[in-house]
Amino acid sequence: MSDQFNEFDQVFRDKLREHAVSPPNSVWEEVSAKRNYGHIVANRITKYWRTLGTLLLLLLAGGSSALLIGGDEEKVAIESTKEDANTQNELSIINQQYNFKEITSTENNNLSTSINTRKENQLITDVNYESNTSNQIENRVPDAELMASMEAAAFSRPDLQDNPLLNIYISHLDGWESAKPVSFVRYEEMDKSDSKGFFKLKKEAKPLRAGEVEYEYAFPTVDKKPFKERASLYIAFTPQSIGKSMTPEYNVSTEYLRQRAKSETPRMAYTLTANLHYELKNHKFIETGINYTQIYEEMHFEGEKRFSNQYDFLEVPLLLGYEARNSKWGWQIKAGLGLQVFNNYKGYILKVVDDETAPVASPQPDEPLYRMRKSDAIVNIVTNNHELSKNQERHTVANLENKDENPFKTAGVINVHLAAGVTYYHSIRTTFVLTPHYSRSVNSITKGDAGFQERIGYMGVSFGGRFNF
Amino acid sequence: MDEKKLIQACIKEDKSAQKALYDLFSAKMYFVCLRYARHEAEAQDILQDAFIKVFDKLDSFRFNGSFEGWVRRIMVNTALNYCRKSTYKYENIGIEDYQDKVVNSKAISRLSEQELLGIIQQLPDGYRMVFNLYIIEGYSHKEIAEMLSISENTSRSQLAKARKWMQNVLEKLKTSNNV
Repeated sequence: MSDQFNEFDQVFRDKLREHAVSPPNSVWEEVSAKRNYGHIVANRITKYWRTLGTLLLLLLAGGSSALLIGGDEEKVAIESTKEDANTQNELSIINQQYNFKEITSTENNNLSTSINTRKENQLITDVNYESNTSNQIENRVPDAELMASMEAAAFSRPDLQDNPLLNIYISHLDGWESAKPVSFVRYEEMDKSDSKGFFKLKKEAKPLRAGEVEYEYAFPTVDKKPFKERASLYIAFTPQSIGKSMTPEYNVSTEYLRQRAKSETPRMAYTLTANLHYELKNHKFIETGINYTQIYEEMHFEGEKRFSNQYDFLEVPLLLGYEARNSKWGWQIKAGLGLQVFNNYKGYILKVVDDETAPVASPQPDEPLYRMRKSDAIVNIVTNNHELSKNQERHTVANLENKDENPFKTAGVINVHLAAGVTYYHSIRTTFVLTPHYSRSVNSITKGDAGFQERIGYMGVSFGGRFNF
Repeated sequence: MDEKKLIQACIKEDKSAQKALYDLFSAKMYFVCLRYARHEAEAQDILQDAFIKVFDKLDSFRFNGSFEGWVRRIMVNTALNYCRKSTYKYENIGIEDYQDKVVNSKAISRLSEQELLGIIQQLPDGYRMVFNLYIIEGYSHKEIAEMLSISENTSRSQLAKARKWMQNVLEKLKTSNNV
């Protein structure tokens, strides 16, 4: 039965599989007509929709990024402040739309404001404001002219004779006499957000005392500052004086360390800093980046004085700080730790020996035979000259470039940092920072088998600038 | 023009090349469509749609296998889609009474292709699909089950019933011819 079925199937397969019958011409005409230009284009779009979609998304993402990074848009809010404890009045203005500069898109901004009661008569004498009344003010909306003035003032000096009220707003907001756009961003309010989405104003007015004037003022609230606005590059130069503290261990005599201390005189030390400064909430910030420290010191032993040693340290610091400002001037304090990731030493120090054979450092002469001059320092730095003179005996000193003789670590030294100083807000993008800076190595800079411990303390003043991206 | 150049010209939307390609395969493929369709008009619709797909998707052909096989697969798939749209049913008509006779294959071979096609076209829709796919195209029951979204057992039973149905038709045809 099965074979018969197979034969049956085979006959059908042979006779029908390759058989051909010409279709009517109308079929080709239909095919040709349906595959017109529009069909071909649509087909290609369908075929490459993934590629086209990806391109479109990239374009959209790029456009959005450009718009965001452009930084000309600001979310503006009018938020209430209360400076007078007698005032409980509060009103909210929400969802105000602004057009800033050339930006065509408007944003829904969260707005709120308050009525404040202050004795500012002398500043706003030409403002006819409701006062000394018990009138209920309901459903107030922001004055269009006021908003327009604010908008204009955001990008120009606010010496607006025609709107002294606005001057009060601005000077109150940040104490500045000038009002660049940043002056609208109140530092304390940077991280607050108000997600209310409609325009609303309520006030429960109270009678004002004689002589009191109520006014409203506005400043923006940025919902959340983007990374670009929070981050800045901190560049600083810190000339320093250094001090070494040496502690002997078991088999190394204090005399050796005493002689070493005598023989080495630090002459120049400085640190170059390039840090990322990142604003956190509530005025706090963190800083991290790279510190490059260079130390030059004179060696004087065996009767000859010589500027010879050079130490280079690369350090990654992590500092937490607090910064506040009332006007253009502010202050900051920061502290943290730094890890030296690369230390390099050139020159010589007295070799570690026992008491009997300890080399004797030449005493510091009252009138130094050799005084490093600036030109000498520069020549030594440029020529990288850290060689001993011909008169000095090699066997009494350890060559710091020889890893077997060098007692110092090439990495892994941890320093503690503490700095506090003043800041000056020069512009939106630039802030100058002047901070006395103290740091000190927490652990010893010497290797475990060096026989002594040594720590370096640095004290200097950082001259720096912070530059927004 | 060899087949590869012809295909490449078709990809570039060369109308004359497309016509040449159509002429090359249309007759064979029309018969494929006729086997799956219930009538000529439906076969022509299937052929037309399938050729539009062929030209639309020509650039996805990788020249790894037989181009004719690729075109045939499109024809078959288009025909199956037609079947699905046309609410074809997998029949369970009363063929229990049909006799389990096997018609001599020599007798069948004497029938012309058109006559055999006529018999296939008379098959109920479900039988016809499975018969074509299994007997003519050479797909397995597993493949057919996947293509038609049915179980393998359904495919097997449909084929068995199709065979039975055709045996009876052929038997009747033989009897009437003898008469």
